[in-house]
Amino acid sequence: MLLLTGCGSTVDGADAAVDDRPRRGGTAWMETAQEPPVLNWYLGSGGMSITDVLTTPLKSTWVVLDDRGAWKPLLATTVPTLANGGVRELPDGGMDISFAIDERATWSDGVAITCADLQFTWKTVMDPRWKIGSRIGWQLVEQVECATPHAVRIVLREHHAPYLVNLLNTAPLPKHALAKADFNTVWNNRITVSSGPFIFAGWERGDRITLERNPRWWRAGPEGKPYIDRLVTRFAPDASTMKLDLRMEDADMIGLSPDTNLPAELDAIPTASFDVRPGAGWENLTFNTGRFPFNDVRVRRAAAYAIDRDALVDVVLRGQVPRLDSTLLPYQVPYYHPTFTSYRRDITQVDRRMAEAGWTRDAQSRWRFGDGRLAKVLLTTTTGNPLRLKTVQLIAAQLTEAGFVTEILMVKPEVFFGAVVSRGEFDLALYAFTQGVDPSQAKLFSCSEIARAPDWTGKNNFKYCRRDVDRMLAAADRELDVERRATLTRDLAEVLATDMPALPLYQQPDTLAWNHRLRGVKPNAMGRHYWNIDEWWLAE
Amino acid sequence: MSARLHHVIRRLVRAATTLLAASAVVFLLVMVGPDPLATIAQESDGIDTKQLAAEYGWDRPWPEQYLDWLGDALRGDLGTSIRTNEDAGSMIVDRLPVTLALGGASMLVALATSVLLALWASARRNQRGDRVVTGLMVAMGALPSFLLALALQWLAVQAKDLFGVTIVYVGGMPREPGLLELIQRFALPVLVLAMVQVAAWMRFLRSDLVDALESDMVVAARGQGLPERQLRIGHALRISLAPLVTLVALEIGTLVGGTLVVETVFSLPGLGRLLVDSLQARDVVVTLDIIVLGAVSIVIATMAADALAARLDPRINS
Repeated sequence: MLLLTGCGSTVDGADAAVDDRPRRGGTAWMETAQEPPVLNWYLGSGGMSITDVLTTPLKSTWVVLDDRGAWKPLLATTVPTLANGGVRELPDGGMDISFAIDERATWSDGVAITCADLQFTWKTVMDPRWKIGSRIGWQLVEQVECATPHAVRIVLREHHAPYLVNLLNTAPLPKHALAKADFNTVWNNRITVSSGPFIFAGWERGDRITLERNPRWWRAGPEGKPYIDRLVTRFAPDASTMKLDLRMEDADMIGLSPDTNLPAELDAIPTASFDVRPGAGWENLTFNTGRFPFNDVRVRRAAAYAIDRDALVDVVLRGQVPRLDSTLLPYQVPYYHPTFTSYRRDITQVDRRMAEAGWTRDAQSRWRFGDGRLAKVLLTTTTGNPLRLKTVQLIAAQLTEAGFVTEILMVKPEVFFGAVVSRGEFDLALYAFTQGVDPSQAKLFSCSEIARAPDWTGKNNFKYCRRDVDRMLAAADRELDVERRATLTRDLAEVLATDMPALPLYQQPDTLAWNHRLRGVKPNAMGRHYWNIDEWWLAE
Repeated sequence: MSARLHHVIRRLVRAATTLLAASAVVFLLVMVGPDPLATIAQESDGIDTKQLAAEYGWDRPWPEQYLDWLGDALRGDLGTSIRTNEDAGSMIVDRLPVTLALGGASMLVALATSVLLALWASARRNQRGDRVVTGLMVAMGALPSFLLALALQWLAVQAKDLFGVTIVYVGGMPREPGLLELIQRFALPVLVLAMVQVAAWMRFLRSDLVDALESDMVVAARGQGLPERQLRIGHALRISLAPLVTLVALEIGTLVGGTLVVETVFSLPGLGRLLVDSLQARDVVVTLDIIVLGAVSIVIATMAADALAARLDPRINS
């Protein structure tokens, strides 16, 4: 994995030795550009990633991902898998998941976290009265059995391979506090009970959210974690303000959107460290396989050979992240399988593929189809993102040089997603998908996910539909054995590289910068940087 | 009915008509913008946009929606924010103090500075000092406020690097209660707003002062041997303040628009920033409320300015 880290100045050796012992106390000041609409992460309006990030210190999940992307038990005492017997395939085609709950686990009000809370969470998520954002996985649960308060057995009516992500990487809801509440409103503006190292203290809309140390944190240990007394997240309007605040030592940590010169700018701040790593978002070129000229796979592959992805990474991102050769990400071991490696800029390949598809070059070296039509490409992306502007300009130049007639269309994000890509009003689109930990790609490539009138919902913007691929996607999502699922996923990767509904470009760089006084930060491969927040501390 | 009462009633009817027309236009403009449901659907997986449309009444004809909104607004119910599910009226009230503090402080600073500079420049009419100050004001007025804000932020960072301590902050609300930090946090935004206002007000006042100093009344007073200081402050300034008061009152009306850039650049949670956030999130309810509130404040401020100007300069009534 490619990582860029930096430190504006050296820390004095003697001080560092003394400072290496975590200290208790102090307020850490974080900054982010986005404010969540509500805090309840289970609701549709709480489905944004910023809600998940900001509420992480208030939650303990059953299992958690560490900084290397490996599953670790948290509320559960083990990570249940097929290999350790925690997951079983049932004769009726279903599955069950069994684990024990850590008996030390309590809510911030001292009540024990038990199997009843998991049962209550399942019932709440499935209650049609509540505006739940996603019921994926939960809708397959038939029963949550509690043999004892700390013994859990979840029975699913069919195999569900992404069970760790969809069911166990979730935080339970406190039955004793929410059983009689209106779930659509009760946790919108404040979280009343916490299972994490911090408790909610206040939210001044438009300004800040304040969390305080949970004095009853069940994993406090002999050290009395968490070390920090207060964690304040302020909402800044843009990256420039955040960088200024970091430089003025008015912010202890900032998360930034990628930009060409960002690492150099952060490196110039003497009092801060930073970390740039390939993030969970992957930038891609989406081909509209439903309309001319990219309804022909040979033309899609020709266009892929016309694009120099290495140059994009070198010029636009100054090498902050490498080229991406898969629709999955390298941290998704063992599913990741790079199958797009052969797509390097090669005009000979462009000529060969186009000729095979019945195209010839005219006097101006532009491709013309047999009926005289030009190879016109409407290349579209979102406004307000300088990286994307640079990227489409480079891609348009490369396609034009290869004989395609390229037009760039920049549109506002809401129009781009609401009207352009979903309705197929493009030939080639540049944007990103966010990849979770699970390798499921059914939402992207299934025929059923093609957006259609009147609602135009569905994420298959490629308009890509192959029934045999649908079967492969479904089989991969049902396979509980990791190795067998990896084989199915790799087979799928080969098909996608040949069919070319999308050309992966690079993982969006995830940039985190923090003040030297903030210690214990271990950036996470999936952008979940608060995963070990109970170990953070502030040097004097 | 006395002529005065008749005049007041006519003004009130005209103000109400203006407000009604403004609210209808704003409503139409906000509603014809990009579909808020598209943004919500894009950002939140699995949300039922049809249900949302029914909840907010967006599936009904526009005139019906407008009349509903108007009826609720007249009863003091400004609706519920789509973005946060909060009461829009409470959201606006929560953000008002920051905007009022910024606007109030900047106006005080700008008014004092404008009066002093205008008095000084008018006393040196067409001399080098007058030309330099007036030229500076023209240059300052031509600078966009965001550029002024960025320049001042850059200076604050340089000062921190130079002295090793923070003299003024580049944004954000105070971390802890206390007057010193409050001043350090508000100094730059107030300065930016004040600079923009001084640039306009000072030239306006200077020009009026010059005219007033040459007016028959002041010339006659000078002939009676009144000291120059008393002439300038007691007579000329009093006459010249009337139009300036109108200008200042109108500025109060445009407070939200005026602080929009400053609140955004300096991360201050006022009404201007709420408007920006609501626009970005396509929160049509809050956007509409703030813009109409702005229209209401302009109408009220204009009426107040007229009354105040008439009181300061009796010639206006006659």
